[in-house]
This record gives sequence, C-alpha cells and structure tokens, in this order.
Amino acid sequence: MGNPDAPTDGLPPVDPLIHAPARLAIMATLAVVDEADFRYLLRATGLTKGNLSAHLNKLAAAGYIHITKTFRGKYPWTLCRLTPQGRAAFERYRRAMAHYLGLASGSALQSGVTSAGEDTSAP
Amino acid sequence: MAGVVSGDPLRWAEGTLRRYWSEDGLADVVVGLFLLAYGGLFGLGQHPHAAWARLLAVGLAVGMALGARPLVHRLKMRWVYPRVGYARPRTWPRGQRLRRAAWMVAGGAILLVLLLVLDLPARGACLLMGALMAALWGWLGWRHRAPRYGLLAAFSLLWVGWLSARPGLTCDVAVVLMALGFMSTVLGAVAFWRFLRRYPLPTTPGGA
Repeated sequence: MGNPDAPTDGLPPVDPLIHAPARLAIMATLAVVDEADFRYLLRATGLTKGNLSAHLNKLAAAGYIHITKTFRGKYPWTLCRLTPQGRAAFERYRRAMAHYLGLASGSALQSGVTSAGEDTSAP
Repeated sequence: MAGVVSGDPLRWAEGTLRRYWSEDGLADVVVGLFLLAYGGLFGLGQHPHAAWARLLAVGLAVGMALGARPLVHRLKMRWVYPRVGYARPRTWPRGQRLRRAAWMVAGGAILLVLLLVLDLPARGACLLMGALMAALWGWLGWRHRAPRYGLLAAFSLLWVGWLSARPGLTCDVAVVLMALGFMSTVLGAVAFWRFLRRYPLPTTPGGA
C-alpha cells in the first residue's frame, strides 16, 4: 500500500496533523481567537484533559501552536495560541479540503448522485 | 467528543465562541443598567433647570462607550472565566477596526441628528428607537442563537406595533429606554443565574 499522506498528482496535500478530528477542533478553535486557555479548549472541543494535553503537545512540537504556562493566583494557567506557521497551515488545510469537497460534489453530480446519496439520474 | 466539528470548522468555532460570549448574560445586565440610568437622566434632563442631568447623561454615554468592555471583562474574570475558561477575541487588522468604528460613529451621529437636530416628535423618536432596538436584538438573537434576544426583539416589535396602531398616543423616550433597560437587565440576570447553575466552580484548577 502507498503512503496515504503523499500528495496525489494535481491534488493539494492534506496535512495529516490537522486532519485528525480532535486536532482539527483545536486548530479551528484557536483560529478564531487570539489565545485561549486550557479550560476553554476543554469545553469547546469536548476532549478529556489527558487527550487534549497530548494533542496540544503534538501541535506544539510541529510548531503550529505556542503554549505559555503561567500562574493565575496560585493555580497554573495554560494559554495556547496559533503561531503564524500554524495559521498558514490551517489555511492551507481549509483550501485543500474545499478543493476536495468541490471535486467530490462535482463528480457526484456527474454520476447523478446527490450529497444525500439519492440517485437523480433516473428520469 | 462533545464539541464535534460539523461543516466548515471555522464557522463551527465561531459559533462556539459566540455562544461562549453571550451565554452568561453579564453584558446584557451591564447594557440594561446603562439604559435604565441613561433613560432616567434623559427624563430628568427634559425639565428646565436640569442641565446637570443632560451633562451627566452625555458623560454616562461616553463612559459606557469607553468603559463597558473593560467592566464586562472584569466581571467575567470574577465569575465566568474560572468556570468555562478564557478566550481572548481575535484582534482584527487595523483597517477593519477603523472601518467598524467609522460605521458605529456614523450610525450614532445619524441617530443623534434624527433625535436632536431635526427635533423629531417624541412619537416618531419612540417608533424609530423601538424599530432599531428590535432590529438589533433580532440580529443578535439570530447570530448568537440566544432566545432571550429574540424575546427582547419581540417585546420591542410588539410595542412599536401597539404605538403605531394608536395614533393619538404620546410616547416618552425616557420611559422607553428605561423599559428596554429593565427587560435587558432582568433577562441578562436570569441568563447569568442559569449560567452559574449550569457551570459550578470546578474543584480542580483548569490550567493543566
């Protein structure tokens, strides 16, 4: 089997790091704010603490997000923000997905199948 | 995953953020109290020898324009962020911010001209204000998916309709402002009470 992450001829590559549902939720959440703390991300994404922490670390290791650990009063406070690199990667991902979805809906129309799966080719 | 991404991820995230901003109702309470106070001062300012009330009303409006956001932020720091987390809104490019500010100033100026310079009759001013408030609250309700804004819009529309149906009826702008302020405060306080019940203070610190 070939590498699923490799770019297909003529088609934009999809970033596998962002394509995972949990990380996509994190990236999208951070894309519409300047920064957000761990509790906000927990609530917005619906992930567990351990799961969210693991995904944040993966994104930070790739340079897509910047994590600041500080204190608010006597409690630790973790703030996350997208880096310019992360924002650009997310934009590329959105463009690639829009391209794929456009292709998919185009081919579905050609073969007479709507997005709901109904066959429209019959007279 | 509770917050599952559906459709365009950015629109999903923006919807989540909008609900986060409006769910607690604190901004509505602040705006409602401002309308109550402003309506009271506006009413007092109608009487002769009450220049101080008119001056205070202008001061209050300027103070609100400059201080409402920091005030709501401080209240949220105390009551909201420890419960549901903190998200700092996106800082938009300078050009976009300037355009938005220019639109707001232009809108305010047009309203002022209609109310003061053209000396619109009280009845006309009431109808205009009611229609504007209904449009604003309707838009907020649709954008934030918050039924309480829909209620406020419906209240404003009902009242505009009632006033239109009775041509002989006079209307006091101060009373309208105070009524809208009262409604906003009450509905905001109910939303805040429900928010506190829905999200109790967590027993463990959130900054893992």
